[in-house]
Amino acid sequence: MIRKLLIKGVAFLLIFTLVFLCVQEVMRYKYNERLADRYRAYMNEKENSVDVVFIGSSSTYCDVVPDVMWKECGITAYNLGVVTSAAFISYSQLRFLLEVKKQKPKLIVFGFTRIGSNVRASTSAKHENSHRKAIEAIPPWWKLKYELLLELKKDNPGQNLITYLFPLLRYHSRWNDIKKSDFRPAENDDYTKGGLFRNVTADYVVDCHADLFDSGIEPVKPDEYSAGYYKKIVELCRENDIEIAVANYPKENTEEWIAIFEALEIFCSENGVQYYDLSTPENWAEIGIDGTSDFMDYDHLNARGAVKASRAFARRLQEDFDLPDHRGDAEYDSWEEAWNLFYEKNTDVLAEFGY
Amino acid sequence: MSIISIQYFVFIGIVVGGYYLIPKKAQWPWLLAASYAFYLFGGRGYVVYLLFTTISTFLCGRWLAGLNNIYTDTIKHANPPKTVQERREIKARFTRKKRGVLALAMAANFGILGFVKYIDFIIGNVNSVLQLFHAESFGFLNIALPLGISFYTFQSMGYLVDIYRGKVQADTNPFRFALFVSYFPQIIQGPIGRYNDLASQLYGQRSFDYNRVKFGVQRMLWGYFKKMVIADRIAVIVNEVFGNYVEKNYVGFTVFAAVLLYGIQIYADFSGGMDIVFGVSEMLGIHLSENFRHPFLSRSVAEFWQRWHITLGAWMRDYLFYPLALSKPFGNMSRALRKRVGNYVAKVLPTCLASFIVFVLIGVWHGASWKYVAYGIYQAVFVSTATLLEPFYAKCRIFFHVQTERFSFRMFQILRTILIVTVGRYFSRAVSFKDAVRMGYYTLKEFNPWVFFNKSFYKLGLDRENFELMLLLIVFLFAVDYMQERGIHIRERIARQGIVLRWTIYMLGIFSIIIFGMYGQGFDISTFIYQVF
Repeated sequence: MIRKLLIKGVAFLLIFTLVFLCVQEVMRYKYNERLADRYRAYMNEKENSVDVVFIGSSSTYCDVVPDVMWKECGITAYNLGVVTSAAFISYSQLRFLLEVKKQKPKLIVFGFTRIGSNVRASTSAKHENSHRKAIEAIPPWWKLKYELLLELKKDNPGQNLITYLFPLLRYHSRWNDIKKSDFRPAENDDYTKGGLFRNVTADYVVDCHADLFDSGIEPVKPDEYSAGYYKKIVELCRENDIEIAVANYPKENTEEWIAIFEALEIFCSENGVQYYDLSTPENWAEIGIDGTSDFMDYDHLNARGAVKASRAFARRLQEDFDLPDHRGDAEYDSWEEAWNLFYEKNTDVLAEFGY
Repeated sequence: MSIISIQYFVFIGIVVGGYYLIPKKAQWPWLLAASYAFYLFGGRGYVVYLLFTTISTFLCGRWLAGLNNIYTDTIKHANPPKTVQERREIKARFTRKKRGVLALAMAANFGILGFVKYIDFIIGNVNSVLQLFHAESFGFLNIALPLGISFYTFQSMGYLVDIYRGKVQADTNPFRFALFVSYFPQIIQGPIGRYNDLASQLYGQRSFDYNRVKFGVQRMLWGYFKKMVIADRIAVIVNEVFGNYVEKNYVGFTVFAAVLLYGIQIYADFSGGMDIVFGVSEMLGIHLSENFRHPFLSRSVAEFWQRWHITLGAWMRDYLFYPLALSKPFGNMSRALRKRVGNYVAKVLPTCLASFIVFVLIGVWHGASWKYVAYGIYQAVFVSTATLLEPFYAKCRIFFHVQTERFSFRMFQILRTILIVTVGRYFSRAVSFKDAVRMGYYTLKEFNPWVFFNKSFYKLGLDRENFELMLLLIVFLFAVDYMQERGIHIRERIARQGIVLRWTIYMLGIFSIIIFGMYGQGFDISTFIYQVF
């Protein structure tokens, strides 16, 4: 009798779990960045084949094109940028990278653009979304998730942790918003190595505002919470023998942005981190950024601008960090294949650059 | 600990698992420990009130039992009365003593209940009077209402009255009695149990019974469905209209529909909570007294109250209505009236008066506010006049050739009862009496039947899909009620199905709650409406 009951109970639980996971997958909000797919693609790469990982906000996501970096310098890079990218999210992404024992990147380039702002999950639904997509994307490594959630809870007491572990409990109310696409797996675009590459041009001119750079704009005051996490990130990279750099990508240089860049420069110099500000007038000129054709909006480069920035940035990183050129190495054929596919899909833009 | 929380599921798992794994002798102490643990989760300070009621009731129970024993001993052995007169005198002497003990216990326990529940209401009213004379006001005490105090106080006092009447023997073990007062599934929102029903079950020894546990889980599921999927979905509209009717100018049928929906919400909420309580108790093999019997199928207000919160109504009937209606003053009143108003009215009027008092008190039981007094009076008027005017109604039915068992007449009676009860909800849901009256005014302010057709209901917090789902769920709720009224036992029917269909039904039930439940960010599902009474 007891054996029969136990079997029944286990069978019921198994079926329940299976149905739960299926329903969860359908109901889960499909964030544009599809970070889980990008994580999966990263984990599927050959052992120790990724040299550089980019972590940061939407600027990173839009402006860094790993395929171009490969073609230009033979750098094997991955772009794991996500919209908003609060300090905690960058931290959780680093924790994820460290957990993937198969890979050990030589260099991680961070965004750190939230240095002056206190972006927490509990402050708005928008920020909660960004925290969720970062945590949910992590594979079911419960220990890591649990540790991250405990940290998240410390500064975001309003968040219900169980809904991060079982997202269905958060997204269940989407039942009347379910589309056919929710039942289909996303199109495989692993060949992009995490980059976005959007060929859309803003219908206005994005200005570099060179005059503002010498106008004595005060650096933004670093936020204790965000700067605290950025320091933790630096320490963690050093502990794990990973080189670290911070980058800022071309955008319309408003007073607010310049105040952030100033603060980033100070933070990096205080913490001994290499800082790249690609948005200075000098860098705009060197990269060849054109405010009329290279942006999709004020803060993000379009495909054309991203190719320009990625080419230039790859060269600098290779020089500064002595990154190997893997082109022609049979072990890295898959990167060449990825480039071929990337080129095939984006010939119209890439042909302009002589590829 | 909310009964809609992961902690509660874990707690129930441990309690039910432990109950069947430990030696049977330890089962009731295990339940007592679980009950106090559950209560302590709700707030450590409250336990003092619970302990006071438990200890004072137990001691007074023993005292009453002692008096009963002395009386029996006196009559039979020590000093047997020689005459009927002497016997009556002895009985009267002991009855006086017993009444004294009962009054003491009731004064202490109802006194505490009254104090914590009504003191700020009294202070508020005294202050209103003092303001008229520009005198200094008293400060409010803001005492937090201990969890379930209304329920366990009524249950304990019922126990004492039963001992006083000789219907039950006083418990001899204070710990066992503590379990009767604190039994965790029912302590927060009832039902109000009776000692002669509950005690033997609580102290009994049970083996694991798969079917019992299965039925318990099923009932819990149904309760969660009613609460989280139906009641909390309706609550969105109700809260929107009741909270913003002035600012957003909700008038006419919009307000009335919200009040009608509130009636359904509170039913799904309270009966859903009861289903969870019954389910948990059923898993432990303890059957509690039912608290609902499809109240929306009632054909009169009096019948409604026999089907709604049955254990409170029964408590009021047995411990208040009968003692009042059968008391000497009421008897004297009946005799005095006979010559002036005729036999029928003289006979019925005292009963109506007792009924009136009971319903006013039921209203007040719900909370400390004039709106509850008005709510009680409103119900009292319908219940007591129905009896008083029954001969007149009977004549009308004969005059109009009404066939009372026809479907159309039964339906008319049901709809009329729902309408009357719904109007009463203005008082129970509004923030205050004044607010209830103002909402009534807003209902009558405009005749706007077009709201049923111009999609304006979709702007009350639920989008179209959620609104339509809500209507579907209400139909489903009443369909289940109707089937149960017709004697169809749904759980037994499900149990008779093959495993594939049965498990499919279970999965559908569980996933309906997970997907359609109104929980998570932006919803407060932890509070049951009756938990605060």
